Amino acid sequence: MTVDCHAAREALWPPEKPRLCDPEVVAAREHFDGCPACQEFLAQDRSLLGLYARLREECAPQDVRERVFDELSRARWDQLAQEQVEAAPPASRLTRRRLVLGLSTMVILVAVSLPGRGPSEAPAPDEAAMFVEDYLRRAVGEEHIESGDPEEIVRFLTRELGMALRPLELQGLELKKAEICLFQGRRGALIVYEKDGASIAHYLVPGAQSGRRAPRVSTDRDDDLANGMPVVTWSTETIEQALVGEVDPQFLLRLAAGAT
Amino acid sequence: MIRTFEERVGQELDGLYQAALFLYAGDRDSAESHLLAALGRAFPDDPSVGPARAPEVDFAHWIEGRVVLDFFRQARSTPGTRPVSRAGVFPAGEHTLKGADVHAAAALVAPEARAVLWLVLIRRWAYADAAQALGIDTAQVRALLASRTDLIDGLASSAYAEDVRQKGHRSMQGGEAG
Repeated sequence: MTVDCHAAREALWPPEKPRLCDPEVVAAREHFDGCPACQEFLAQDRSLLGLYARLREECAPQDVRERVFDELSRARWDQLAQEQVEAAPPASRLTRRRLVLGLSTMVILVAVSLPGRGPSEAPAPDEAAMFVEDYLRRAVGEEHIESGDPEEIVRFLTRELGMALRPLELQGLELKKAEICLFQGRRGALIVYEKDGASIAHYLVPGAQSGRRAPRVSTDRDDDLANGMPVVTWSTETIEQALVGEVDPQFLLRLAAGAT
Repeated sequence: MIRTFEERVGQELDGLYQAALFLYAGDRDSAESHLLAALGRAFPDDPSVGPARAPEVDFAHWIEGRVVLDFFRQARSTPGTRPVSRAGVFPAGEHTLKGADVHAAAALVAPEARAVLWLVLIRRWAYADAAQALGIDTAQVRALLASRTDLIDGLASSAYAEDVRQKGHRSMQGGEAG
C-alpha cells in the first residue's frame, strides 16, 4: 500500500493520539520515514503544541473575571425575571407579592446599609447582582428549616450563623420557617411568619455595623417595587434588620419594638 | 453536588480567555468584550439545566465551543480581507517565542480560519467535533485548516526576528568579552 503526503498526514495526525497499527497507519509511517516534508510537518506540529503551553500561561485578569460574573449575574437575573413573568398567572398574585416582599426588603436593607444613601433611593441596576447572589446561595444549598418551634429555629441559626437569634413572639404571630440569606457577601437570617394568612418576613444581617437606629416605617420610596408595601427597618449595634409584610405598619412597628 | 453555571465558567475562564485572545489576535479589548457577550448568550442554553437538559455533555468542551462559535459566526457575517501570506519556514524545535508572537501570527490568518485553527490545531479537537461545534461540515474544516500555513509563516517571521535578536545579543556579549 502506498500513500501520498495528504493521506499520510491524515492518518497520523494528531501524532500524540494512540492508534491501532493497521495497514493504513503502517503505510503512512513508511511514507513519513522517507518524506522530509512530512517530517517537517509533524515537527512543526509539535512546536505548535509547545507554543500552546506558552498561551496557557496567561490567566484571565481579576477585572475580567469580575466583569464576566457581573454579566452572568445580569443574564441570570434577566432569565429569572422572565420566568417569573411567564410563570405567574393572575391567580398567583399572592406568590408574586411574596417575591416582591422579599426583594423590596433586600432593597431597603441594602439602601440603608450603603454609606451616603438614604432609604428613599431606588436601587441601581448593579444591585441586581446581590439578589442573584442570594438566589445562587439558595440554589446550591439547603440552608433552611421549616418549623414552628422557636427553639429549633434558634438552634438552626446558632449553628449556621454562630449567633443565637431568637424569633419574634407576639400574639397572633405564627412562626413558619427560617432561611439563610446573603447580602453583599454577609450571611444573614430570614425568618418568616404568618399573621391572619399574611406573610411577614424578618431579615437579620449581622456585622453591618451601620450604627444603632430606631425602627421606622419606610413608605416614602419612589420605586414601585414594593407597591406600597410597608417596610420597617432598624439596626442594633451589630445587626441590620427589616420587617416587611402585607399587614398594618403599626403592627410591624410593635414587632420591631419587641425585637430591639 | 450541584454546581452553578458561574462556578463552572469560573473553572474554565482562563482557557476561554486564552481562546478569545487568540481569536482576536491579541486584541484584549475585543477579546474581553467577546468573552462577556458570548458567556451571557450561552447562559440560557446551559446543558446542565432547563428543558433541553443534557447532563452527559462535557461542560468545558461545550462552553469553549460556544465561545468559538460566536466568534466564527461573527467572522462569517463580516468577512474581511484575507491577510497576505508571508514566505518563511517555521523551524521545528524549541523556541523562545511568547504568547504575543502567537497572537501576532494569528493576525495573519483569516478570522474564521482562526476559529478552526484554535479548535483543531491548538486544542486538538477532532475534525468532526470542530465541525459540529461550528455548524459546518468536515470538508469545510479541512479547507479552513489550510490557513495553518499563514500561522506558520507568521511564527516563522517571529522566530526569525527572535533568532536575529539572540544572535545579536550573543555577538554583543562576545564583543564585550573580547
